[in-house]
Amino acid sequence: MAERLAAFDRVWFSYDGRPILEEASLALSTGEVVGLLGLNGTGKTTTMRLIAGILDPERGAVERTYRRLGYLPEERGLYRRLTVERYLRFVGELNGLPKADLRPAVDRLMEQFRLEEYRGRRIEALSKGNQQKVQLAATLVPSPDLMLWDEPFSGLDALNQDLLLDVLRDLRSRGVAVLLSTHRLDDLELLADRTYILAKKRFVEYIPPRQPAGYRVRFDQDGADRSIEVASDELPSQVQECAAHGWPVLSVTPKTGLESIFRELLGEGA
Amino acid sequence: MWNQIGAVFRREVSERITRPGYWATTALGIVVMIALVVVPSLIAKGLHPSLTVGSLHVPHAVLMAAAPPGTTLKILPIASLADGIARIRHHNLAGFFAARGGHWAFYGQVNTGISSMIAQLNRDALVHALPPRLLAALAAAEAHSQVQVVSVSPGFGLIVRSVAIYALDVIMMVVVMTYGVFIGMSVVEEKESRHAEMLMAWTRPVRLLMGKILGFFALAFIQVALWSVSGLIALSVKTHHFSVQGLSPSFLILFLVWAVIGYLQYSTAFATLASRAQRSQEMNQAVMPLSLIAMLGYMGSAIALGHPGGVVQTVIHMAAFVPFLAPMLALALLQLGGMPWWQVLIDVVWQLVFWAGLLRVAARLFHRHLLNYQSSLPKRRRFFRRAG
Repeated sequence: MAERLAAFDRVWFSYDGRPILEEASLALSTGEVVGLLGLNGTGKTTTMRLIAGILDPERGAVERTYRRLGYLPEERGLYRRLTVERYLRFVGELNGLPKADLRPAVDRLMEQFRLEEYRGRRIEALSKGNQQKVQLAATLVPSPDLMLWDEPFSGLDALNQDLLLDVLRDLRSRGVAVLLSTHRLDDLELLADRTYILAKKRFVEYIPPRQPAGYRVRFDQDGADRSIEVASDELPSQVQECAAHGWPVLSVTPKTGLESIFRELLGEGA
Repeated sequence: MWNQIGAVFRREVSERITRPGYWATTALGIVVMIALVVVPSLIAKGLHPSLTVGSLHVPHAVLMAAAPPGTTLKILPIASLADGIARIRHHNLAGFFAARGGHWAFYGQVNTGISSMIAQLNRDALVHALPPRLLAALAAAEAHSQVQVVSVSPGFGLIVRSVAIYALDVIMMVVVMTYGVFIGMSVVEEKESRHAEMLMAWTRPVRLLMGKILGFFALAFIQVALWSVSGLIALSVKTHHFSVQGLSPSFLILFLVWAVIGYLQYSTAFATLASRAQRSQEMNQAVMPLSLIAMLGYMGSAIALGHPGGVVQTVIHMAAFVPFLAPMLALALLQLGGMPWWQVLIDVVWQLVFWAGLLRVAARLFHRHLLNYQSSLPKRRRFFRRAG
């Protein structure tokens, strides 16, 4: 049975009198990947800080029942003069990991994030992408039961994005809850069990349908890039039609309910 | 709690102790410390170990026989008590021996060489292993009582002592300010890189702050300890004794106590003020109020060097209880006769209590400022718009 790890109960929060959250409620439980969507400056980072205990609500209650937290803020830094291994060990020590567990945990993460060859190298000598991987690995050192990841894909190349997706799936399979804030709606549609959309200072919960409502087909019509939306059952005939006209199909993307809801909410002035 | 403080502590130490700059500064400090000990000693004694004392009716042969081994003793005939005291006060004479009515006395400031002579001349102390030459000289002079010491000040030794106190005061200020700036830079770096936010999800601000303060304290302590040990070794090599020219172990302990208190107060305040800065370039501006307060302490110690009296002395004495000024002024106050021990105790306890309170307030401000990435520029703009 899923165990609740964090929850907001009618939370209010403002910065210098500017309201960010008003009567906002949410809940996170074990083993689920939950998306967090919202325009810039609407309170996604504040939400994560409240869950992490960095901030406290003005009104309402924030329940924090997780044991260990992995937190990756949107803008993050590292101790650039430390070696990769020393930094990961530092994070473990900070989280009270016993010495005996520290070495295997660090070794496992080095392997998982393909950082073994950089073990003794200073972080400042690594590429931006590898530094990003060190940051991600650091959030996993405490063996968290709740992960807060804010834009974890930024700065990663396609290969490392795939690596991160694998890590995410692995976390879910091990019962770790992940709150994932990203602007990549396709990824959320693919990964998230549900998504909270921050609109009008509250969370609107979106649970995706089992089947996509439709697809967006992009094709090359005599040199012009075109795209149309079709219902699920119309997809095969649309692809055939493109082929019949000799229009190469460039992409077929599931038309997400999330995207339409997100746009709809924003259209209402979120 | 202590695990987390320990983790931050170890990180701060291990990252910085490997930097060549740290060890270059330490080596430079050792050279300065040795110079600080040796140079006044050289000034006081000359390049060769020699000692000049006056003699008022004391046979020169007795004084020559009591001269410390390896020291060239110069004896200056003194015409009268007034003449001798005038020479101490105006001509840098350390002191003179006088024989009056069968009793011997030493007038002046006792240094290591003179202390050795007094011990030799003191008949009670010479029961064992009395050198035959001295025994004969004493018998011929019919000396039969202990040497009485009459302190006459200010002598040259006192001035040297004042210089030593002042120099240690300056060293304290340099250490406190340098490490204050270091800790401030560390805070700004974490804030600028947004690393602080990650850290605060795992630990409380007060633990992060404490880990930093203790980490930098360890680095400062290693430096000050190496400097102190090198200074004491230089003292022992030069004088065969650990107490000379006012630099006694008890004085050094007092120095360390005030240096630690100064470090704790300033580093906590530096970290808090630095957390207001958005970028490294803004740090100096953020910590400027603290630098000005430290300058006040420095000025107070400079004034104390001049041995003022009256209201100025009272003001310095009272200011020695004011946090941030106390570490420098309490030490400098030794030049004006110091404080009674119970006042020192009260002051030390009060400064530590103040620091504990400061730490609590600092942790709150530290937390608030670290998450505030908004520059204060808009406020200034608003002000100027209004003013315009």
